[in-house]
Amino acid sequence: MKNVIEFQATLSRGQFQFDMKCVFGEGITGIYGPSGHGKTTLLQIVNGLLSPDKGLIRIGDEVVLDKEKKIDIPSRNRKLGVVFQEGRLFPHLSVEDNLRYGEKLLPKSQRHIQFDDVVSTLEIGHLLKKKPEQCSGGEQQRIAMGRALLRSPQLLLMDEPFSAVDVALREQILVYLVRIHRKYRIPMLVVSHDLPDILRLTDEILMVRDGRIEAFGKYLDLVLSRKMLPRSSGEGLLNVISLYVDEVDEERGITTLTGEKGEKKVKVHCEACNEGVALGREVKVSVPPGDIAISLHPVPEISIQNQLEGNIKRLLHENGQVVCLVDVGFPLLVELTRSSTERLRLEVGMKVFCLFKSMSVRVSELT
Amino acid sequence: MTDLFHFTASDLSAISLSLKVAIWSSVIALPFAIAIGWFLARNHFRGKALLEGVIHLPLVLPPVVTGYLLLIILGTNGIIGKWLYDLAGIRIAFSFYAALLASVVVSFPLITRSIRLAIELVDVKYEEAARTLGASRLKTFLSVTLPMASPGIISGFVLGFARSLGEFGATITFAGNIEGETQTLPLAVFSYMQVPGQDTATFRLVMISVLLSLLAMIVAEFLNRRAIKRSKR
Repeated sequence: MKNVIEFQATLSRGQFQFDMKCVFGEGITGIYGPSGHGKTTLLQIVNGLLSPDKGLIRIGDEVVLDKEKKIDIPSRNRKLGVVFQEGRLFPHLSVEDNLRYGEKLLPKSQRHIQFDDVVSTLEIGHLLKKKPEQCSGGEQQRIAMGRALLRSPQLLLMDEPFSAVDVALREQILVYLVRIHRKYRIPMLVVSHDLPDILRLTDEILMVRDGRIEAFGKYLDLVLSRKMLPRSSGEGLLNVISLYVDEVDEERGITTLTGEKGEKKVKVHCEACNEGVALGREVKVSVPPGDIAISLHPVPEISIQNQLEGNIKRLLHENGQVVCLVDVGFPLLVELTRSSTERLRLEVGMKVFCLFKSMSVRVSELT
Repeated sequence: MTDLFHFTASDLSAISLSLKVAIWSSVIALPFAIAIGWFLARNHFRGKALLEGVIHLPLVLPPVVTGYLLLIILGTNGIIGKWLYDLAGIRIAFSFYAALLASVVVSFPLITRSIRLAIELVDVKYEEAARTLGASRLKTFLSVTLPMASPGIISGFVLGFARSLGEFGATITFAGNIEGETQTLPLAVFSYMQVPGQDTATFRLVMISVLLSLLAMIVAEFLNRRAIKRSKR
């Protein structure tokens, strides 16, 4: 694989010790962990604004940092696109000049990404003549993404892209991030302290704690290997599934989604999506595991519409709670209390029904 | 009363000399002030307080002392001045250049201070962003730092200009009071005051002095406000 990022660095700053080593793949990697534990430090070392005590970084074929060989390519010569937490658009320049700032400093032969293309992908054409301060938070974030993209980078770094905007806008930012990734196929490192935000974007998670990598891998594997279990109720788990829009019933306020695995067709009902959602469109669906109930039999006389049949694959006991993995056509995590588990005598291999309300299903339209 | 608006040739020469000195001294001081202002705003090092002290010295020293020190250094018998005179026949003291130099030295700390504060107000984060976008340090400075600090730089320039207009002590000590060559507005006022019965003539120049200074301060204040408004974004 060409587009991989090899990273290794140690840094000591007073009390804070940073020591990480990993290889990032071509997709989107979510870097998750509490504030002040080294997520931003990791990005700063990659983008060259911070030089570690020891380290080696390779982006694609190019070694941008090798402390032993005294290689330390300055930030401006690393082929990276950086989107900062607060956007950091230049206030004295117009939106267009902001977008072109990095592009102009790039030799023509290295400009793979076209200006018009980025502007239309991010839908910022109407803002070009404005000053950044005249744009909304979400628009500013998109302009910052565009500015980074126009560096034709080999890697995109995003530091808390969601934190500067309110919850409603996060969804919007996610949409554009996914769009960028699908279109330009640039590997991305996305830092966030909010797990659900990351999971809606990717299931490849790097967990950071105390300046170290606590876990790295597919989300579900991390959960099943107990590397990411709810330590406290705050750090919740989340099911994020890709499904397709099957039917929209505006009158009944219900949208039906399907996921396919083999011959089995799984139907999930949720609240009506936005008007005009195209049938067959791919969406990301999230359901908190704590919102799912388990029943041994279907429950016909109940308001809950989603009753998915599946087999228990794993049962993990943790602090009086049980995390149960059910295969309903796709893997579904369910959080239960130990007493419920014992009452139902749940065991691996049992056939159960996962019940959740349509209102617990959150849909992100990502395409 | 007609005397109040009747400017003599020496009056006009004092006014034009004052403007010439003030404009030139601010123009000459500006690039150095930008360099030093940036250096002080963006670097932390040992002995920074000492350097700041030296740079700001002319701001607090009695201007006569500044002029005297210039005379010791650059006078025909001064440490460097003697050498300059013997080697190249250059005489700085008691010439237009002395008036200019006195003005630069006295206004420099004022300009530097204003520029330094303006640069400190520019968040380093913007400079970092520029660097990740491919800009060299110089390009970053020219395209991000300087434009973002520009209101403060302009206001520093105007302050320096105003300070030059008012310069008296260092000029009379180092450059003397030579009509047409070093006699600026304040020196001309001083000369009129020495002669009895020249109240009207004195007032004529005082009026011009007040007007020019007021104008400079109004411009500085206007630019200052714009700078503050910008930095609050």
